[in-house]
Amino acid sequence: MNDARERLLLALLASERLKAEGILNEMRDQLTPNEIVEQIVTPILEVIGQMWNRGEASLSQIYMSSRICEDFLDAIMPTESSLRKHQPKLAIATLDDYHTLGKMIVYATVRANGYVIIDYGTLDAKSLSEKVKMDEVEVLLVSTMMLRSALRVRDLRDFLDEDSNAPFLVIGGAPFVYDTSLWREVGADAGGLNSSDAINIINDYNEKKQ
Amino acid sequence: MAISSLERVFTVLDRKEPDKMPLFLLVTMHGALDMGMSIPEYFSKAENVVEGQSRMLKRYGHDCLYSFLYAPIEIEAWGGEVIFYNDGPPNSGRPFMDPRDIRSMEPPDVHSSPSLLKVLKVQRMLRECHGEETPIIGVAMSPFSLPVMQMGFDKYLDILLNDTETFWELMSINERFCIDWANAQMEAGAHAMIYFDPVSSVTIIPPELYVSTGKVVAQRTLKEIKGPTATHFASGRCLRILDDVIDTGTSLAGVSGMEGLPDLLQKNAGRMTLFGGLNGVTMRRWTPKQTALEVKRTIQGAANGGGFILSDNHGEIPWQVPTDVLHNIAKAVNKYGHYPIAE
Repeated sequence: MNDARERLLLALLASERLKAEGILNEMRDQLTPNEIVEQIVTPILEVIGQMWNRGEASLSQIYMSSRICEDFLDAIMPTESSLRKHQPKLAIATLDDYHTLGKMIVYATVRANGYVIIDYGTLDAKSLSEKVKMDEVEVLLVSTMMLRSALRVRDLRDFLDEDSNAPFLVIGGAPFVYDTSLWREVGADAGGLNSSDAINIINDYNEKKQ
Repeated sequence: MAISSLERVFTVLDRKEPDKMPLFLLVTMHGALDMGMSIPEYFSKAENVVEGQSRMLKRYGHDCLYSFLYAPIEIEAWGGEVIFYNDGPPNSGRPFMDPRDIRSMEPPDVHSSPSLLKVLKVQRMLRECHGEETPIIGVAMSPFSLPVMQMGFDKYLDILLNDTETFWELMSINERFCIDWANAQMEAGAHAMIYFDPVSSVTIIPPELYVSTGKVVAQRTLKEIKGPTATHFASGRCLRILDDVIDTGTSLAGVSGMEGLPDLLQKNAGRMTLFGGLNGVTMRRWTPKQTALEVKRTIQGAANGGGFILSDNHGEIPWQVPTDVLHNIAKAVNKYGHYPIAE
């Protein structure tokens, strides 16, 4: 299994979709879909995320890796499947910004980890808070690219707090990478440096909830 | 004896020690603040930008005039949408280019775009006002990075990674535009061009992909630009590709705060002038003491042998950075930046 994991990691880093899918398919003989998520996909995407933090992997590699894993999971675990993790209720959006790559990567990573998640696209703070309230979202993931948009998270926090069931707010994106205390300043509940951090934050949230 | 900013900058381009480490405060929006204008109003006329840049030069005594208005100004020339804000730089709107149209596409004429003509007017006026005292810095987006605004990151990555033919057709079109645009700016009065190329950084693509794509594009483009160029990765990492960046023929590289300056200086080994060193995102909160410390530390770490310009890491100081911080940066450079500088 370790050999297969290593081959999968290399195939994902090289953006070799067919090879990666072939290795994942081999694993289906030995592992259940949930075991593939927990023992293979989650740890490998986390390794790639850590490599990015160290400057050893690039965003394009994270993007392609998460997309390949997401597509594979979609095939063996469709969105409506009972095998999917439907709790907590998750949503993601880009705040006031059309730089959407970060959101796409996190969205794909979350889905590749077996979760169901709503994608709101790009919205302003007020509209996003209204959608979140209407859908009773429990954990909201927000991506920003520009500092201006990152600072708008403060407005979003204020709008969300108007409701007594405000969601757990998780933020990420370039400004938060260059200023690691910014997530606290804008009132988020947690901040991630890469897409795998989002998974750890969601898993932690789930554990604490139980 | 004090020398002009232009002489100071050309001295560090020769990797020699000038009288003082040059400081590029790459302010694009603070002129509007100084003139009591909104950001959209400020960018609506070349005269405003010229006045704003002249005021910034006088106020902070730094070493360049920045004729960059905002990143998506080139996108306006291509017919794309730009969204203006009152508290930040104009941003590109929804991507407008359909990759299926690339084969029939022609680049816009730089002399027919009102937005680009405004930039050229800024450069002409700055040159008339400031002559040969202060370098006027122009900006051209790299043909390799422009597609992020043209079609969105995801579609571009799909082409870059999976559709070689379409990718190179797009590069051919974008290269023609970039070369025309950069040379028009040089003719109008710019002394040097910043070639913004964040997609080439290791933050965005792996080094081996850069070598076969972004580097080739840069080599073909930069050799046609009639003046010195500075490749800027807009806070992206470049340590692992530094040798290849030098191969593109660029004169300077803007470096990221995510990588250690000592590592960058060691690998560069005086082959190229580097600029950067200050974190524009955290700068917003710097106290006077912290500002002095950040500037002093960067100057002392990078001064040896010349070849370094102090600047922010990103190529644009955020609107949210208070003017007091900019004052304190300039003050600290005057205090700690005179050669000879102890390491």
